[in-house]
Amino acid sequence: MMGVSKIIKATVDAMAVAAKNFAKPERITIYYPYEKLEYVRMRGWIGLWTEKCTSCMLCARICPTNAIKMYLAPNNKRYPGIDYGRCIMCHFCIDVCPTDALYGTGIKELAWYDYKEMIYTPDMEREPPKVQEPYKYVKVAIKYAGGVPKKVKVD
Amino acid sequence: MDWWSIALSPRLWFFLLMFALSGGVLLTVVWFERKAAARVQMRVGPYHVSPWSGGYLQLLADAFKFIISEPIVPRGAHRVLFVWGPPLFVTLAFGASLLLPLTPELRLIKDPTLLPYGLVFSLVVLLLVSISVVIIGWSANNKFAYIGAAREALLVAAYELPLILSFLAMAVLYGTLNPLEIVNKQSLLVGALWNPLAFLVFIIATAMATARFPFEIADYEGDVATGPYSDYGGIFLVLSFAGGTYYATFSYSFLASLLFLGGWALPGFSAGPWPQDIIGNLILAIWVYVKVAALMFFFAFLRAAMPVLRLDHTLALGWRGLLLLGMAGVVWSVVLRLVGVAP
Repeated sequence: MMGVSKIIKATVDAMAVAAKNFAKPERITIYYPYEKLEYVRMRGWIGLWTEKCTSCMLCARICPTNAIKMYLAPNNKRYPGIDYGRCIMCHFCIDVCPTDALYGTGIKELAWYDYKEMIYTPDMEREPPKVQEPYKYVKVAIKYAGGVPKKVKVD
Repeated sequence: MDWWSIALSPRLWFFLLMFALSGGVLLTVVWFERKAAARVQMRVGPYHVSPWSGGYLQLLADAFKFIISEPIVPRGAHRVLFVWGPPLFVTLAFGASLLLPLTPELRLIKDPTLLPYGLVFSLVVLLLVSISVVIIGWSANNKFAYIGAAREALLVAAYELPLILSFLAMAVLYGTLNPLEIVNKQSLLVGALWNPLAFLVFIIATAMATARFPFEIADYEGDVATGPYSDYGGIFLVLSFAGGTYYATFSYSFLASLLFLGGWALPGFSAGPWPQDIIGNLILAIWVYVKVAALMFFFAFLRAAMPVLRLDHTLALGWRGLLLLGMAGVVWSVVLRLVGVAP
């Protein structure tokens, strides 16, 4: 008899929890193309000023995933090109660059049709990729109020 | 037979109302099932197709996709049973509700003396749905489908007798099987309050019979990859798993709304004879549909709240719990009748 009352109580409790969540869901879903999470700082696509580059190859040495390959240019210097299939956006190459030839951007929504397109040569590194925004989006952030996460709009 | 009398024939209106309104109710219930489960589990559910309606049109898009996709018959399947299983499923599941009256005037069975047979026959037809599930599972020649069919066959033993017992309890309570009289007797107190045990048994057994959530065992994705319907796609899936089970739920809910929830009994309102009082009869029909929809929304909400029971636990629940509860319901009805307070 104890077992039966336990089962009934568990069933009623489950329904109560479901009803509570149905009436007031605690979800913080971000409706992605229409809303975007506002990251304050974001390591994204890496750009290159070949004019500043001294071909010291420190970026290629520091790269933890061996994503950087040094391409030979017509002026007999070597410039870094990044394979974004390998790059983990750690920005070590930017930190280590002695002449600030590499610079970071916040471009994080990168997508390619083919893995061959992910291998960037120094020429391709000069200009940041165009970000397409088909939807007008709202910037949102997750804020904690009393231990409960809440989605709020950011200007 | 002129056109006017054909256009106002109660049978034609019954047919149209059943098809149109049940289709609307079913679409809404499926949408609600997905949205409610998503809401409780802190997801969003269908959204991107028509965000202004909460993704309602996603269902129509899904249905359209299913209907235009190629129906594939696997090589080792029993071709005849494989193809005819889903139509049989949905015909039995929806045909059962066509045997019941929607309002006193709108009904398919014209002869009032045949109405009791219609009520019993609708239950019989509904119980035959499980046989079509077994046919579907056997014909696919797939081990998951086979296991699903075996599970369904085991489950039938667990829910069939309690379902019949709860039906019997209500028949004993009302002392009649005529749905018109049954509804008339519930004008003051509905059957669910007269015999709550039978109502509980009927609800749980319905959830088992139509694979609603705590008992979604024959076609549980985690175990057997949608069970008997594993090899189905396209229009077959619509007729069996994606639509047929909901029609079965609809028919069970319709039966329950007549037996337990008072059917079309609307306090302080009564409709006139059919061709003179169309509006009144339509109001009664919609009132029945409100009750059916409430039951179906409850069954759909179970998906959000419940885990899935194990097969042996379900069989134990059916044989030890529901069977005894159903018997208790019959005894309670007999007691009410003997004391003389029954409606």
